[in-house]
Amino acid sequence: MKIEQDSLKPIYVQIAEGIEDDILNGILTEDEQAYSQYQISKQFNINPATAAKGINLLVSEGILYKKRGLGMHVSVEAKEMIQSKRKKVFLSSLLKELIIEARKLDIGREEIKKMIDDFRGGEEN
Amino acid sequence: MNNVISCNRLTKTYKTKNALDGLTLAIGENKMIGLIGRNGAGKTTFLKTCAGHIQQTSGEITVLGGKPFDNLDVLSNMIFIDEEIQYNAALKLGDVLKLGATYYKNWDDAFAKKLLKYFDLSDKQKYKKLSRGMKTQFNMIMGLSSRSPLTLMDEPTLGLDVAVRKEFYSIILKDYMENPRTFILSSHLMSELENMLEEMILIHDGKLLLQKSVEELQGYALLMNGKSEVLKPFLEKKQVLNTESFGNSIIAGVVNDFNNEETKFLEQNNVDISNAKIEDVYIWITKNSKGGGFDEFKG
Repeated sequence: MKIEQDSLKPIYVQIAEGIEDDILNGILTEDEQAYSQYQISKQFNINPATAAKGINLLVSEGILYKKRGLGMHVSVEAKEMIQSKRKKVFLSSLLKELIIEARKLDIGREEIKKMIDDFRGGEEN
Repeated sequence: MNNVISCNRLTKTYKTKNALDGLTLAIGENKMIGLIGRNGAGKTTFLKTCAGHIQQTSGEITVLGGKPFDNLDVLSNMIFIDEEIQYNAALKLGDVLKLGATYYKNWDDAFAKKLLKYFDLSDKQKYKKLSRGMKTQFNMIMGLSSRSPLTLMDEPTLGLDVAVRKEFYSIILKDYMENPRTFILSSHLMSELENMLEEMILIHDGKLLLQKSVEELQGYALLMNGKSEVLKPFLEKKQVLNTESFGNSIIAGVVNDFNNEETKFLEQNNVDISNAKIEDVYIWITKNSKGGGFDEFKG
């Protein structure tokens, strides 16, 4: 997890996405305890209210839940929930960025396709 | 929520100059607040009035439910730390800590001794003989150990190197979480500690210019960098805080009231958009106010 100061994303959103990334990468696993407001606040020197806001965002989406007396935990379906949510973002925003950048660099449709294939090929080797 | 500080048209006049000029604001309980303003904006006068060191010329101020000036009930529940603190030349650090224990209601002696040791200070040292950085460290130890419901710190990290500053930020934050209380920090290094804060108060010419959550302020204005021919006509309808030309491009600070369509248009035209730093926003709006009429920037 990291905080980028000049990002357009508010800090609490970065916190929420950082937790999501850790779930996607398997650093946090389902039904396991997640970071507390205080841990996050201490780690990044941020106001505890900001950390709580990030956590609560994930609670409201059902990705985290509060276990009585045991703090925040990762929901059983958390990974799937995040993946389906991120797919939508991928299509609407990441892909858009890619197209904008490609236009700037004057990269055509075929060339992009080839780049993706090459990248994938490299990954498989 | 109770207000820890509330002031109404608070004015302090020195000879002919108003250091505070009708300052009206309220500060809620258990918040971590940043106070910013240019030199001479009235920050220190405001803090000193809260701390009961000086009395206002007119207007009202209530701190922890009472009037702060000459009021021991209020003053034993708050601490004001600044670089001007002087103690009797004969006093050793251990003596000053003892004084703190008798004066401040919530004083934590064990915590004070722990911090003293952590920062390699000895209770045998004389305050007067400390270097500037060590004085600052000791003042901060006093400020934290008092555990006062209201803790005011004016330039609390003056003369400290970046490593020690960072250490102090995390100690303050940790102690704040374990013992919630209201902090007001005034600093020229606000960008270093802005993420620690919940709210920021910007004072200018003795008046309140902005009081907003840090989250709002971090998204308050955008920094745009793009071709003049694209950006210039577009910005005519916008609240532009600052512009700089750079070859054929301009870099503009603009109040963020942009909708998705507008951002999309700009992105398609290769305009780079990022959040403007709070520090920069504050420089822009105080600079613009010289010509009068900064009311439009009030939140």
